[in-house]
Amino acid sequence: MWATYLYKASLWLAPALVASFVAFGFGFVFFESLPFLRSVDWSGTLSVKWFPSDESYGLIALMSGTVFVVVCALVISLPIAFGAAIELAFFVHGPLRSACLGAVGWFAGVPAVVVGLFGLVYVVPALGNWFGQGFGLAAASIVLLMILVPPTVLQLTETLQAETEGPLLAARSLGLSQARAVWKVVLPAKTFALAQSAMLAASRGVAETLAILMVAGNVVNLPVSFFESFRTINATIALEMPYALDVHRSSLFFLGLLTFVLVWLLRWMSGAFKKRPGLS
Amino acid sequence: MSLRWKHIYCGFESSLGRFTLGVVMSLTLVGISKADTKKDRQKVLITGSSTLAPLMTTLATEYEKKHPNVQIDVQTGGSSKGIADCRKGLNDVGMISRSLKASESAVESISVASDGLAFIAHGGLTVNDLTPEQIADIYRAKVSNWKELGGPDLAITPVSKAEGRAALELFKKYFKLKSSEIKAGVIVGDEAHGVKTVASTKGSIGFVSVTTAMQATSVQKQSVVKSVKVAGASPTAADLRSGAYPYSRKLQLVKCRDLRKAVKEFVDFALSAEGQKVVERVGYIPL
Repeated sequence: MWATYLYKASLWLAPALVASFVAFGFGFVFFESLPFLRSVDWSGTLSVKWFPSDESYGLIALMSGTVFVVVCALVISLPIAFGAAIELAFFVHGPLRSACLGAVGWFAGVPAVVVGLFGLVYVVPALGNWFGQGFGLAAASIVLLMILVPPTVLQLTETLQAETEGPLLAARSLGLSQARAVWKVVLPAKTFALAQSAMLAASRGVAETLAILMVAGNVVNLPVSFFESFRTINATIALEMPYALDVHRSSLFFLGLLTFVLVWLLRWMSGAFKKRPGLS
Repeated sequence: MSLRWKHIYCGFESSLGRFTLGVVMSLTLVGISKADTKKDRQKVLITGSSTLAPLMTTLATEYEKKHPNVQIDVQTGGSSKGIADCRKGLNDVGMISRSLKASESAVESISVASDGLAFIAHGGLTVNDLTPEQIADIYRAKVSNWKELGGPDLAITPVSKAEGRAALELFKKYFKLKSSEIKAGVIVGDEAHGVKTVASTKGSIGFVSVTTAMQATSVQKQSVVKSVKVAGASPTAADLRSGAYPYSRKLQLVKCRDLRKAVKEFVDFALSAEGQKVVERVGYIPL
């Protein structure tokens, strides 16, 4: 019956639509950045001077802003997120587990803008009191920690429990304690899941714009200290796009292209952890 | 095969039922989307500066109360967008909070309210009055501690605005600074961001529009954000009008072609005595 075929076709159409959105997105950003790519003086991009009104498009400060903040945020949030996920997946049971997962799920639902506002109103003044200036890498990393940890914990807890009951049961029945079974048997088999989780968190960190913008200070600087204003790629796009003309606007699209490249790099890096089929 | 009731109420199980459901849903969506367009409503679109948008929105609401067949849409996007849209014919009037550049000819501007550049500082600061030279030196980072200006031993954090913002252009023009000369401690995007940043940073000083400063210093307690006088003059309506406070600008509407009747009537309302009373009520400074 033709209605069945229509139904089946729609099942095929949906992924095709999604793929075309991604292709369209990339194509659009690429085409909008062409004017900049054609006219830019590439030697000028290897500097920290981002002054579009004076034709100076130095990318180093912006790129290092994004990279540094993601790295610092991951350094503090991955241990917390991984630890929490492993605990919740294997060591905590019953009502306590449900309560913890519920609380984490609730935090995951807080919009990033609200976290950014919290950072601006509480974290920045507190850091300012203790360390001189509040705006900077430290505040941005703390804000990113609050944004990245909850979804990572939720996703990783799910992933860690997939397909591990068998090996775990086998290890326990051989006399290993839960701790040993988890650390020596289950986790080594799950390195790809951990890497993928880290990659997702990093991508989220690269994409986060507004929350970092509120606490970073946004001065175009190489971020050498934790308490000095810096600026990320996304913050530049958000701050300057409404008022940018022609080549400046095109350069902002090029910055968007850079974030695409950064995320692809992250996916490629996490792919290195993939194992051949079968447990080692 | 022929349509039976079972195809409808067991919709998801039969392929014909699924198809019917899809058709019905699509038609409902189309119907809903068409439901609220009334053919006899006049639409007016105003885009541009985020400084002027709240005022225009309130004026629009007041106007719509008396003229229910007119629908006025106010959207932000910045002064440059207001001008660009006007030239491309994408809006009826644009809103701007900066003066027109030389390249922006063929555009006529109509003043709607007065405004200016105001300086705000963190509430705990004891310094109340600064000279223009001191402000320029603060932003050039020649002066980096409040004790050099008669205040406490506290580092100065100058707060500036992102490239392209009207307030920054105004600041550079009045204080004769270039972008590369300004050494800000923090750069913010819009007005609200600026106020929040100054309120949470000890020893900070920043610039916003006079309207925002008036609202920030009256709504919040004095201890959070305070207004800074420049050479004895405060950014108030009285000082702006008398010229004692020189950093003024007009908030304007721009038009690129003759206005339609509905649009012209709205603009006339904005400029009338009644409209200017609304201006004052919302917290802006009337002409």
